Amino acid sequence: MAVILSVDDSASLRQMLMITLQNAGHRVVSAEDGRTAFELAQQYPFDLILTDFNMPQLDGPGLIKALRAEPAYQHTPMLLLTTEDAPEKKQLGKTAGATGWLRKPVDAQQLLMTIDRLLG
Amino acid sequence: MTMTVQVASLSALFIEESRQLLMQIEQGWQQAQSGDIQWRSQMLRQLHQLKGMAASFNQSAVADCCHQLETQLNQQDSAMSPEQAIAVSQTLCMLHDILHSVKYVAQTPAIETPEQITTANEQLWRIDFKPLPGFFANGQDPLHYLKQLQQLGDMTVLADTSQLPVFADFDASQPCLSWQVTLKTDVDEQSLWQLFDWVKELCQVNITALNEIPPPMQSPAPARQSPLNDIMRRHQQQLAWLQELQQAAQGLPSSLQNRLEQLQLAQSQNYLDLQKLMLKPLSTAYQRLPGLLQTICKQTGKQADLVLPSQPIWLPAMTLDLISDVLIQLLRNAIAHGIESPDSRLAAGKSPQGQIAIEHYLDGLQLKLHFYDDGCGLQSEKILAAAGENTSADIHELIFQAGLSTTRMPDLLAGRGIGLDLVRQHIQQLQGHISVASDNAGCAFHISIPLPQTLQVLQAVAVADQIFVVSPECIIADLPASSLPLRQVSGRGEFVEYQQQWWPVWDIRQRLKLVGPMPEDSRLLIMREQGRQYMLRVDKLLLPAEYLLSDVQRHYQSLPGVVALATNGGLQPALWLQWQQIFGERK
Repeated sequence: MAVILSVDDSASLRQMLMITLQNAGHRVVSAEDGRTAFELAQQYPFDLILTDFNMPQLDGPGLIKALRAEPAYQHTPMLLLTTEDAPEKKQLGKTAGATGWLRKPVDAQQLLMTIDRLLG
Repeated sequence: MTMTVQVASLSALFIEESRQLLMQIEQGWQQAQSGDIQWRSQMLRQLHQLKGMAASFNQSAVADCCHQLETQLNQQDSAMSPEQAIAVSQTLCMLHDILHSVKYVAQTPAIETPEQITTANEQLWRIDFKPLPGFFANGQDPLHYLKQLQQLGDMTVLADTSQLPVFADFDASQPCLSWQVTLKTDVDEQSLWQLFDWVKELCQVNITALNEIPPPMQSPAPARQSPLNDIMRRHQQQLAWLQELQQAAQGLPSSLQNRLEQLQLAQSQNYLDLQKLMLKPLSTAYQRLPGLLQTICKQTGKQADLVLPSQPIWLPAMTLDLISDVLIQLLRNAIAHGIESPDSRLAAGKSPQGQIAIEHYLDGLQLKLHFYDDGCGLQSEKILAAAGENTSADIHELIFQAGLSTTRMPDLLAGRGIGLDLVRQHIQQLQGHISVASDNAGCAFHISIPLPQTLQVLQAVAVADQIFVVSPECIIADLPASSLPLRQVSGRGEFVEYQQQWWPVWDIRQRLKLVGPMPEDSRLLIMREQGRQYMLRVDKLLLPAEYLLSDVQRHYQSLPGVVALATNGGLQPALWLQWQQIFGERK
């Protein structure tokens, strides 16, 4: 069981992720934009961050970059979950400090397996 | 049941959200018709978002419509022909119909779809995977990638541990293992490379197809270790053999036993010489200073002498590099800010030649460095003025701040405000401490750095079956215990009168509860340390010898009263203890 912060500006995707992760036994906190997520992450030490790429306020790479600057999140797995797959966008995510990249639509099984592997 | 309810509510949420998004897209399209220029990028973004959502909910009809609209909009540069505009409107209508049809019910999100991996015939692969420094950043873990490979087929993994450093040098933040994987899988080569795509800059990966079934696993490739490590391993082995021989030699002629002792002594010497090869003398950090002094003096028109210490101190090369940087900065700083021009010095009643001196000594494993100059001292007014708003801060703190400089025009020597900041950064990295004292007769920097390892000549003493080392400088005299009458003072332990003074006698055997009979010819060491005098009762004195000292804290944990672990190549390590702390403050 891990405590996961899931960030997406689409309410339905947030809920879908929450159901998928909760059914697998994880605890999930959702945020609808990067700024809210950043504030939540400072109040609670999450085990893993799942974030959308394009979001209002603070986008996925921006959120990851901001969190990587926090000592508590230097080694936390952070996954970008996105429809983007242009190499330059990937590079942006990589430079920001993302641990990995999952292409939407993401297969639930694949997502859960990746999370399990990342959490050791 | 709950799952069905969850999925139903999820579908409803998806439909509602998609319809709202579509409404925004339609509004954007209307604005576009009325000549708004900003519409295109926003509309494309919204379409992209809707497409992603639809794909996640397995709604291919919606996703296809969005994709078609994206293509139609992307073709346009600025102006759009009426035909093209009609085409966009038609696709939008279609999308609207799909999302608003009464019968429309979103399907269950795809949960069971297996991962799409191109397959080929089953094949044996050899994959070499070596994470590079920095791999662990951003939550990466090599095991994550090994586990991913494991899911692709039958796998055997061989870890290469030859690059593991010695324990003292172990840095948990840097990778030192690499793996050789043999994998039997039907996944093709490109998919294997794809697995490492995200971390391709952070590791070395080699993928080769193996044609035949590989021979049984052999031991890992010969380690590329430095010969020093090999010699050290052999040394340990030889020591064990020597000990066996010594035990078996009892009863043999004493000449043979002597030879064995000589052999053991030679072994100890070899061990220390090896350690010396791994450690470096502190004097190498001073080598660059005289030349640098000359250059800077020439550039600035100032004159200065440099006095360097000569007592040898050994320390790890990495520590040495940082100290070398610190000294260079301090020297630059002293000439640029401290030492005045010859004229000003003469006017101030000083000799035209400035004096800069470095002193060093060891206090246990603490390296103490003092850096003096007889310049004008810290210029409080200039420093406070440069610090601006920060004027409440201590001036001795301010000089170490980044970006603070009192020199108007930065030059190569100083004035960039990074010199002393760098000094403090280095000292902090070494877990040391720096302080400064100054008046108009000069400036003194006091540095204290804990060394992980060093070499020192120490006096060894034996008590029961233990060996302890003490600093020879602390020993004033050594007397047979029987020569002095002991006196019990109730509640305060034993005392001895020596040279008209009463000395407390500290009995190591008793205090540390060591077992074994006390010999009749036990010794009393008269010690003076940090202004405190005491006598230590020991069984016997051994020969003074050079010992390799290691910081216990780095290997284990901080132990009060323990200065260092000392070894001289023999099998039995010795402890350097702080007797005042061990015996408490007995008055």
